[in-house]
Amino acid sequence: MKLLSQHGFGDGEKSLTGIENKYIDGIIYSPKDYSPKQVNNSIEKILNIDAKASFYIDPQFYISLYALNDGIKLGKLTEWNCFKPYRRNDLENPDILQNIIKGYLKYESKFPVSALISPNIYITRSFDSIEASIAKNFIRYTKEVYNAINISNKPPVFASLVLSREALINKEEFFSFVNDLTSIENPPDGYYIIIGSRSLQSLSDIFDADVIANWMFLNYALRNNGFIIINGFADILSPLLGIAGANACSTGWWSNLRMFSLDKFMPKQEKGRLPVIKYLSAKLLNRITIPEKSAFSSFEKSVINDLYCDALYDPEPKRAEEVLQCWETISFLSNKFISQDIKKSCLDFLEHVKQAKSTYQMLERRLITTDYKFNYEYLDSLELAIDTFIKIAEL
Amino acid sequence: MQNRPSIEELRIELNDLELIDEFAEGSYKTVYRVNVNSRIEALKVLYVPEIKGDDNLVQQENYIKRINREFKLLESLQSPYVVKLGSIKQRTIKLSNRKYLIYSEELVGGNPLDKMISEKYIPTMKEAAQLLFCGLDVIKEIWTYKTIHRDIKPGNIMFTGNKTRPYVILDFGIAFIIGDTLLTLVGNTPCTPAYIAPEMLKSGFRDNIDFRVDMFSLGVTAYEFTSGVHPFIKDNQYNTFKSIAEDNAKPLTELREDLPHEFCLLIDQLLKKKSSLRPNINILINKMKDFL
Repeated sequence: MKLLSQHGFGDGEKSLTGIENKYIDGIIYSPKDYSPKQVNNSIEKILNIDAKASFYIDPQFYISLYALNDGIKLGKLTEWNCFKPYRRNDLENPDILQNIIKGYLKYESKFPVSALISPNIYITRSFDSIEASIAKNFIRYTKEVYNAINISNKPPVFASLVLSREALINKEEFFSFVNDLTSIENPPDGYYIIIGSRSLQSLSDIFDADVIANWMFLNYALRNNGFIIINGFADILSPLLGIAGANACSTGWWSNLRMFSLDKFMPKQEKGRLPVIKYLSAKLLNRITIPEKSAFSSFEKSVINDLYCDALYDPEPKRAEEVLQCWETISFLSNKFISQDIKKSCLDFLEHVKQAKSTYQMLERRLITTDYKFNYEYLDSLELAIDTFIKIAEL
Repeated sequence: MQNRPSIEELRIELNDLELIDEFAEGSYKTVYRVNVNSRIEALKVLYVPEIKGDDNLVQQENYIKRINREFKLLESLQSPYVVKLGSIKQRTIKLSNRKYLIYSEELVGGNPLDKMISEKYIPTMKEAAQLLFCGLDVIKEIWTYKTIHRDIKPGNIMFTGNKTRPYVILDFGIAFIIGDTLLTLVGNTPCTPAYIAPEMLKSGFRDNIDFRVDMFSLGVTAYEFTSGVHPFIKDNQYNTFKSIAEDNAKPLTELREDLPHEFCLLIDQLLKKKSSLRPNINILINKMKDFL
């Protein structure tokens, strides 16, 4: 499985360095943060280092329905000619829908991307909603429009699938939706999947057993049906999604690049401050602070990954280097657990989660007199998610 | 068959045809061998059910129109693996005040798969792959007409031994259409219970089914033919339905260790409860070509 940079504000040389050192295999660009010219320049630089790097452009069409809201932060999206605001009613017209798809695909084709990604809206409610119907129509028309447009050296075309956790947790509707996706005539070649939370503070929205299990199921079912799948904003869930069949996952250097929420386009309520630099421990499947790293590893050495980027944490890396360590760790976990035998991979990862829990419990006992807060409930969600996935995937 | 006419009645009514003998009977039809211009064909006689109520005639006419639409479809199919219509075009006849629909099909030589299974025939990998290839080819083509067979099972598949046409699927849609109508009237279950796809056991299934119900039925047929064991059958219909809806079949590789693991996995995947988990039909057809 490939790992990609989920591009955003403040890339600098992060993605370039990531590709140079082979921690990542490519980039999903954010038009909000890079103008078309900047994307071209970035691709040119990277191709000089790695001619096989993968490039994609997230259409970010989902923000079109909010583009006229007060204070909305569109950034450089306005420099992308294909982007404009729409009302939901507009999108109920098939002709308008097809023109939108055509506009995006033609625009993206000007870049040396590995696949064109068709636009789509964000399904914020149920699969029974008008939003879901519109989203399905975007998917249905993708290949038809793609076939009709004249582009030289046509790369494959993916449909976007942008789902909220609310949509994902209604099992009956979700499975019915996946049935529909897998029976579309003239389907796209693949999917760019994003699962969104209500806000960046709602980590439990994504670290919910049903959300994770269904996200894995989506990958598994689509892969079984021959689709190529890229998951955006997947972060530490990347290895699990890879086990389920994902071709690629992505993550980035800010919290809003590790988990998707429309927050990044909304006006900020208060001035944020820079987050504390953390270390992603493969053993704990979690990010820990540098003092925690030091304290925990004195009792359990395996909390340290023993990978190349550990050298950057001596004692603290530059901010730009933090994401390199993250990418390296996620790649390590993916390579360790992803195999042809999906059930075995799931069970092996499940065992790893249980060991992470045991380690936390041991550290909790040893460091009981300290101020460290041991919050590892997310491991319960991971455990249940894997069990649930094995059941719903009929493994 | 309900209200089955005697062969003598038929010979009188169909005095232009040389009826040889009766050779098969189902719930809604009887089949006779008939000689048409020195070619032996299968004459099918279907009872047109009487519906209680004032609109009996209208309902019967609609029923016959619906059957005729299915005939047109059968005529359109190009796949060599579908039984072809014969020279006797469909028409209605009346015997003892009851209506019957008659038509003929080619008489396909060979052995029905259910007979081969009961005789414990062990197919080679090539024979099993051919069954899947032929079946999937038919399923794919009839879906282009937004139609599903709904009754794929060993009893409806002939193993011909012919290299270019190794399997032929019979009773295309017709028997089920009849059953479907009676379902509306008298509450019978469509399809053959042991081969029914799990999604068809749910209420409101008509809104949600597609060609993948046929893929499931073909998967059960292929599993049973390949292993000699039905993956879900129990002592009674209710328990069989329960097994289809809830139980995972034993991996085929445990019953046929001589077959490639990948091949067995593909058949296992056809038996997934959720249709989205069954393999893509085009991918599966190509994979079967690799095994041939």
